[in-house]
Amino acid sequence: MKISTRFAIAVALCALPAAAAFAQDAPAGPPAAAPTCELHLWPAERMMSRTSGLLGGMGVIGALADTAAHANRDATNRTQLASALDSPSQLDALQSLNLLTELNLPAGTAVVRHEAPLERHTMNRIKTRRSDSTATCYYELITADVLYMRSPIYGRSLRTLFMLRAFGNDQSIDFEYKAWGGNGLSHFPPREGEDVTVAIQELVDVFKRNFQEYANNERQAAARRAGGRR
Amino acid sequence: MAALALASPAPAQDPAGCELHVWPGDSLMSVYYGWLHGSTVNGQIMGRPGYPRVPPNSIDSAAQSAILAEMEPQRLLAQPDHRLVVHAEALPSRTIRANAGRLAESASACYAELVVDDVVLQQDGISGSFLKTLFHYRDFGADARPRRSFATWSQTRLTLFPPRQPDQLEAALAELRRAYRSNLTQFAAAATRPPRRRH
Repeated sequence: MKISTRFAIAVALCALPAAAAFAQDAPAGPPAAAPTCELHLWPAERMMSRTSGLLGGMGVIGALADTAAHANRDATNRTQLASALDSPSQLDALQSLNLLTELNLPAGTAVVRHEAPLERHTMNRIKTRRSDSTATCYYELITADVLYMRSPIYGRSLRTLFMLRAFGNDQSIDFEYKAWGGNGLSHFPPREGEDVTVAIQELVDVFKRNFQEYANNERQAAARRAGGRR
Repeated sequence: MAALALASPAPAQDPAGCELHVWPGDSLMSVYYGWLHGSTVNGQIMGRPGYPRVPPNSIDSAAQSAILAEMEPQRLLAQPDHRLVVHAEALPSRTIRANAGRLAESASACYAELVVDDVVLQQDGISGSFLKTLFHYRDFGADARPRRSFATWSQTRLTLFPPRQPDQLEAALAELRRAYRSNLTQFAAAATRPPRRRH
């Protein structure tokens, strides 16, 4: 595990120059440089789709009928989400952003990719570091869920649940922020037989916007809690 | 791109000859949604508790390449004069989706490519089981950028796969391969269909 983590760091720093550049070129403003900091990224393993119609507001039987009526569509949506937002695509999307600025992390923080998602049911239960890193300044950004929703009132949207955990020089969480980001969709899901290129790109773009929305809220929550200091 | 060139079967470079380059997909993915468990991508492949088992390597890249070669996709895509070049290795999705140029280092004056992006077993408690395949087709002609591109899913219902009993394995795998062939035929029909016009 230690070897794989170090390999992941090497990949993050060497094979993904953009990510390394983010670590080196973070703008002034965030806390002072701390070269031993690490930000570990995990993609989501769970893809959900909930399409609701007018029956959804008519009690339990209505909700069941509604679920059954949209089961085929939701199954197709889950498949297409799993393809468009597979683990590498999620990590690439996050690393295309300036994560250190978005999350207000120390300049020089190394970004470490974990290609395999964490098991969803362990996400809240395990309160210690999810990698075996011994970095003295250590953060985890975990994508927990990806959810497509369609409702008769609000229309189509993609929602994403993110969780940031900040550790000091130990195994206990100093700060945790878990919240959804969500934005509307206009191309996904594509109609059957239609070209899906635009819909795939839209999912990736909205996934990134969801993260930026989440990160904005996270920065505010961290500032409120620490009086501007992490 | 160097890796791609190494992975390719190094076709003879004939600028005047037309070529259709074809890449298989990676291993089978799964998306399951049952009454008690579901939504974890590849939960069946990873053997998560509560997820129906899927035989390992049910339709790997080598099996897909063999089917693609046998199906003669150049005929299905109405390009019978194109020489078929079937690659052995799957391409990563990010390579397929992010590259606007030719994926093979070919100087062919009439170059096209067919790429299998994802092959997914979709299974749920209400709508049943399907094999879904995401194909990309791009026709470059003599250009470095595609003149025409089309990507979509095709699907075929499965009734035997994944097998419930060990003695059903052979029939289930045969069904999976038939479904893969059917998906390619459906995709080719959609890719060669004239664009719809409003009257």
